[in-house]
Amino acid sequence: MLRFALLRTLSAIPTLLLVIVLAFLMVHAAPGGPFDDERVLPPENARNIAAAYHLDESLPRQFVRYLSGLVRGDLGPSYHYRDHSVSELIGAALPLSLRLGLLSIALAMVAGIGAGVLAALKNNTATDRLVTGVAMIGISVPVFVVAPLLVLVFAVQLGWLPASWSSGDAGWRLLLPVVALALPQIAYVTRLTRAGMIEALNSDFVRTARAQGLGLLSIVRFHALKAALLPVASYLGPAIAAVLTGAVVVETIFGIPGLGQLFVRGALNRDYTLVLGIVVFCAALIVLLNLLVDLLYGFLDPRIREP
Amino acid sequence: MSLLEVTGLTIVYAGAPAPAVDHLSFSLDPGESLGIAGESGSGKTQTALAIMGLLPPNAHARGRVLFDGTDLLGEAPNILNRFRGRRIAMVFQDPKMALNPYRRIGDQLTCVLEEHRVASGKGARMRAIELLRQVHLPDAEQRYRAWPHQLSGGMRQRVMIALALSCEPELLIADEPTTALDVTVQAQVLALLQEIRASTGIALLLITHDLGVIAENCERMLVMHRGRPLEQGATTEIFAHPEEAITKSMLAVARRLDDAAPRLSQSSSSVLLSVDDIRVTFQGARPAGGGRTSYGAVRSVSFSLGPEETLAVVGESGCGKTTLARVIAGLVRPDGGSVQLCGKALAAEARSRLPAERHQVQMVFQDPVASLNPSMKAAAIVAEALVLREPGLTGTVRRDRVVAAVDRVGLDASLLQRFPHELSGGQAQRVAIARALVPEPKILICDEAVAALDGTARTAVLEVLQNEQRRSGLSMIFITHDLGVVRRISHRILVMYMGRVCELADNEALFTRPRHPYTRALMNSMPVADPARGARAARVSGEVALRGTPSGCPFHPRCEYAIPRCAAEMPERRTIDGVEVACHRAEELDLR
Amino acid sequence: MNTAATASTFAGTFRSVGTAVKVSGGILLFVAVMALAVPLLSPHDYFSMDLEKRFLSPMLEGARLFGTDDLGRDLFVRTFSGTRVTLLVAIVASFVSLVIGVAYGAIAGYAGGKIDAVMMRLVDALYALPFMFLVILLMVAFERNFLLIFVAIGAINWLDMARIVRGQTLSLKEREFVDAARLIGVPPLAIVFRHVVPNLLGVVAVYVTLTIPQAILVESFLSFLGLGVQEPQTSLGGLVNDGVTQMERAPWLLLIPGTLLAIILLSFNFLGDGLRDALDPRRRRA
Repeated sequence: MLRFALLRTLSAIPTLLLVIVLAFLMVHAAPGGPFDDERVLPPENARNIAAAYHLDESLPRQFVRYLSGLVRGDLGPSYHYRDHSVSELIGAALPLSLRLGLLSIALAMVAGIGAGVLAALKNNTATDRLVTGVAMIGISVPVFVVAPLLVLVFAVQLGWLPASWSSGDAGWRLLLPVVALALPQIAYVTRLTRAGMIEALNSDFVRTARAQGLGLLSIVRFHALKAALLPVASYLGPAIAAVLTGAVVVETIFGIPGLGQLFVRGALNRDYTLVLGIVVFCAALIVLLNLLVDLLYGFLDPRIREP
Repeated sequence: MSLLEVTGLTIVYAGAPAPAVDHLSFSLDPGESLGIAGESGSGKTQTALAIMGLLPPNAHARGRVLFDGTDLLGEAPNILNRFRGRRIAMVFQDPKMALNPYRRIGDQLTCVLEEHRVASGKGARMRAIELLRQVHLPDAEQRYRAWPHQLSGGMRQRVMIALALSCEPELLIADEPTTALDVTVQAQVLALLQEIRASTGIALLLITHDLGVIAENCERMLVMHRGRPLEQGATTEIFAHPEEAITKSMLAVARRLDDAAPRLSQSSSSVLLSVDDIRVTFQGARPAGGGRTSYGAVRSVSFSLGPEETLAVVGESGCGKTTLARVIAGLVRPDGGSVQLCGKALAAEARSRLPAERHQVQMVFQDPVASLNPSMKAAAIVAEALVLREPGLTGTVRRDRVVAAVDRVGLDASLLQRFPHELSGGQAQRVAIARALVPEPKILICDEAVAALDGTARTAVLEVLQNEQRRSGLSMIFITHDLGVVRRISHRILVMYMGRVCELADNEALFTRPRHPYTRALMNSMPVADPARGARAARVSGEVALRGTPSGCPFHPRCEYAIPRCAAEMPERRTIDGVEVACHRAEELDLR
Repeated sequence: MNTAATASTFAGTFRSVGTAVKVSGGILLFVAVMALAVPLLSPHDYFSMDLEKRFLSPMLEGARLFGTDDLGRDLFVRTFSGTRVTLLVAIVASFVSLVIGVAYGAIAGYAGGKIDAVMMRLVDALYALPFMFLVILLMVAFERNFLLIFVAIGAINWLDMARIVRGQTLSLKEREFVDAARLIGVPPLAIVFRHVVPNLLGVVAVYVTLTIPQAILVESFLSFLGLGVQEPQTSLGGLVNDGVTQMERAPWLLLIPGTLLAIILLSFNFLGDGLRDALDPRRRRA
C-alpha cells in the first residue's frame, strides 16, 4: 500500500506540471492583450506597462518567472483589479465556493447512495423504476435549466426561499444553490450505486452467502455494500470536477461571489493572470483531490492494500 | 427415512423450449455419497440449485424436495435459511469469485457462525481457526486474517469447505468442486472430502462431469442427460453393466482416455525442431484468468521434435508450458536460448520471421470461441491466411479452397456463414484447426485445445488431429494437463514443473515406469474411471508456490523422496534407459 | 471492415432492446424532423421582430404555438431553429471527438508499453484541466468564432472515448484471435484495423450516444453564458438564457426550450443506456 501511495503521489507531480504548462500556453496563445480594451496608449506608456508586467520578455522566460512565483505561492498581480494580487482575489472568493462545493458533494453522496441502495433492493418494482426515472431526469436536465426552475418555483412562486444572494439571511441562502449543484451528481451516484449493488447481489460470493443461509440484511451489510460502493468511490474524482464546473453556472445565476463568478468576470475583462491563476489553482485542487481519492480507493480495495 | 428425497423435480425456464430438468427422482440416506454425472447442460447444477432454493427468478420448479421430511421446494427464504448453511451446505465450482474479495477469510467464517448463532465473538474466532485447521489450511492462524486474493485456488476451495462445514450440516452438496483446480490439488481436495465424511458422517451429493471422480468418491451414482435421469444405482454396478446407450458412450470415452492402447512408435532420426535452453522470466507474479497461464516463467527447457511426431507437454498451472509454446510460435520473446527449424534458427518474433518460416509453426488455442474474431464469419477467418499467402487467387478459387479446408477437418460447409458465437465448442475448434492448417505448417502447437470441450467433442477433435497427422506428416506439440489425452495421442512426453523439465520419455515408458516423483504424483492424482481400482499410493502434498522459487530442485518441498541435496543443488538432466530425467535420486527410485 | 457482421450485430441488437430505447429513438427522430421542417414551413422566421406582439402566451394566437418573446419573435420557430443548431453542433463535435478519441485510444492500447504510458499521462493531465474554464477562456479570447465551438467541445469529449477505447483495445489485444493473426503474418496496422477496431464498434457506438448529450450540454452552457452561437441565430441554450432573464414575466420562455432540451438529453441517455445493455456480452445467447 505504501508503495502504491508513494508511486501515485510522485506521478501526480509531472501531471500537475504538465497542466500548468498547458494552461500557461493557452492563456498566452489567446489573441488580444490585457490592455487592449482601454484607450490607446502612447507607445512609451505601453512599453512601460509591458515592462512592468514582464510582457516584453520571451515566453519561456515569462513561464519560468511564473513558476518561481507559484512555488512561493505568488500567482501574480491581477491585470484588472490593479490593487490586488491574484492570490488575494482567489483567497477572498474561495471559502464560499468551497462551502458550496463540499456541501453539494456531501449531499450527492448521501442522497445518491441511499437512493441507489433502495432502488437495487427493490429491483424491477415500481419503486425502482421511479428512482431510476428520476435519476435519468437528473442527469439529463442541465444545471442551468434546473437552477432557474428551482428559483422560479421555490423563490418566486412559493416564496419559501431567497431568490438571490443579496436577499435573505445567511443560513438559508445556500440551500437552493447547493441543491441545484448537487442534483446531477445525486443522479449519477444513484445510478452507480444501484448498478454496483445489483451486480454485487448477482455475484458468486453473494450466492455463496445465500447458500450459507445468510438473511438479506446480513448479506447487504456484510457482503454487498462494500462491493457496491467501490465504483462510487472512484467516481468521487470526476464528481469533484463536475461540481467545479457547475459551480460557475450556479454562482452566476444566484449571484454568489465565488470562484466561478470571479473567473467569468476575469475572462470577460481579459484579466489573464487572474484567469490563469484560477485555472492553475483549480487544476491543482483537482489533481490533489484525485490523488486523495485514488489513495482512498487503494485503501478500500484489499488487492491494492495488501497484495 | 432418507435424508434427502427428490421426487419428480422439473425445472422450466421462461421462454426455453425444453425443461432444464425433467422429472428427476432420487434419494440419499444419511452418511451416503451420491454422484450425479453428466455433461454440461445435463441439468445437474440446476438440481443442486433447486435443492438449495437458489434458482433465478425466471425458473419455475415443480415436484418435491424433501429434506428430513420437510418440502423445501418453493419455500420462502426465511424458512430456507434455517436449513441452508445449517443442515445443508454447498460448495461451488470456481473458488476465485465464490469468496468475497473485500472481506478477510476469518471474517467470512465468523459471519456465518454468528448468523446461525453457533458461536460469537472470541468463540467464533477460535472455532473459525479450528475449522481452517480441520481442512488442512497451512498456517491457519495467519490465514485467518488473509484476503482471498492472497490464497491459491486450492486453498480457497479449502476455505469454502470450511465455510460449508462450519455449522456441522448433515448434507454437503459439491458442484464440480475440483474442476477449476490443478490435478494434484484436485486429488488433495477430494481426499479431504473423504476424510471429512469419515470423521463426521456427513452425506455427500457430488456433482461432476468427470466419471473418474465419481468412481473414486461415490457409492451410488445417477447419470443425467439433457435434464432427464438416465439410470441410477450402485457405482460399481453402473460401471460394470451400463444399460443406456448414452451411459455406455460416456464410459467408453472416459475409459478410452484411460487405458487406450499405446501409440505406435514412429522411428525418426531426423530432427525437425530443436529447442535449446529457452528461458523466459516474467515481471510480476499474477496468475492470469481465462485460458492462459501467464505467471509461468520458463527456467531452462530443451528438447527436439521429429517429423510426424507428437510431443505432449504436461504440467500444472504456472509450469510455463504455455509460455514455452508461445516462444516457439514466435508470440513471446525469450530471454535466452534458441529455436531451430530444420537446422535454421527461427527469429524470436513471428513478425521478424520470413513468411515461409512463419507459416511452418501454427497454433490452436484453448477457448475455441474466444480464439475466433467475433466480428468475422467462419469463412473469412479461414480465408485470411489464404489471402495473405496467395493474394492472386480469384474469389471462386479461394472459396473452393476454404470449403476444402473445412472439409478436411470434418466441418460442414454450411457452417461457414456463421459467426463464432453461433457455433458450438467443437465446431469452433474445427474452424480454428482449419485456419491453422491453411498455411500448411509442419508443426502444429495445440495449447489445451480440447480442455474446454465435452467428452464426445473432445474425442472427435482429437481424431481430426490424428487423421491430419497421418495424412500430411504433421508434427504436433500438444500442451495439456490431462494425462488421458496424453496417453491417447502422444509419442513422447515432456513433463514440466515450475519452468523446468522433469522428465522426457516415450509414452509407454512414462506410463509403465515414471522416473520423476512429480510425474508419478501427476499420474496418481488423476481420477481413474474404474471403481474397482483400490486406493492409490500417497498423493503429493502442498501446492505450487504463489511467489518465489524454492532453492535447488523446485519440486523438493512437496516431494516425499526429497533428501537434503535436493534443496541445495539443482538436478542435472541425464538419460537413464532412454528416459531423460532431472532428479538426484532417479537411478535409485522405483516409482512403479 | 465487415459490413455483414456489423449489420447482423445491429439487427440482433435492435431486436433485443427494450421499449424505452425504441421510444427514445422515436422521439429523437421526431425532434430532428421538426427541427428541419418547422423553420422551413412556418410563416414566421426566427429573427423577425414584431414589437406589437411581444410576450404573447403560447396558443394565444393562431400559428404562434409557443408564443413570442420579449422582442416579439415567434418562439415556435426559434425553438426549432435553435434545436437545429444545437443538434448540428453536438453531432459534428461528437464526431470529431469520436475520430480523435478512437484513433488515440486504439494506438495507445495496441502500442502498449512506454508509448501507452506517455499517451495516457497526457490524457490524465488534460483530465485535470478544468475544461469548462479553458473553453470559456477560448471563447472569450477568440471572439466567439462559430468554428471554435466545435473545436472546444471536441476537445473536451475525446478524452473519455480515448480512455474507453484504450481499455477495450488492451483487452482485445490479449485475445487469442489476435495471436492467430500474428502467426499468419498479418501486419500490426492491419491487425488494429481489421481485428481490433471492428470489435470496438459496439462500445464506441454506445459511447457516442452518450457523448452527444455532453456535447449538447457544453454548447448550451456556452450559449447560456452568452459565449456560444451569436444573435440572432440561437440554440436551445441561448433560448434558456433569454428565458431566465424573462422568467418572472413570461415563464414559458424558459420552460419550453428548457423542457425540449431536457427531453432531447433524456432520449439520448436512454438510447445510450439501452444500447449498452443490449450489447452487454452477458446477454449474448449463442
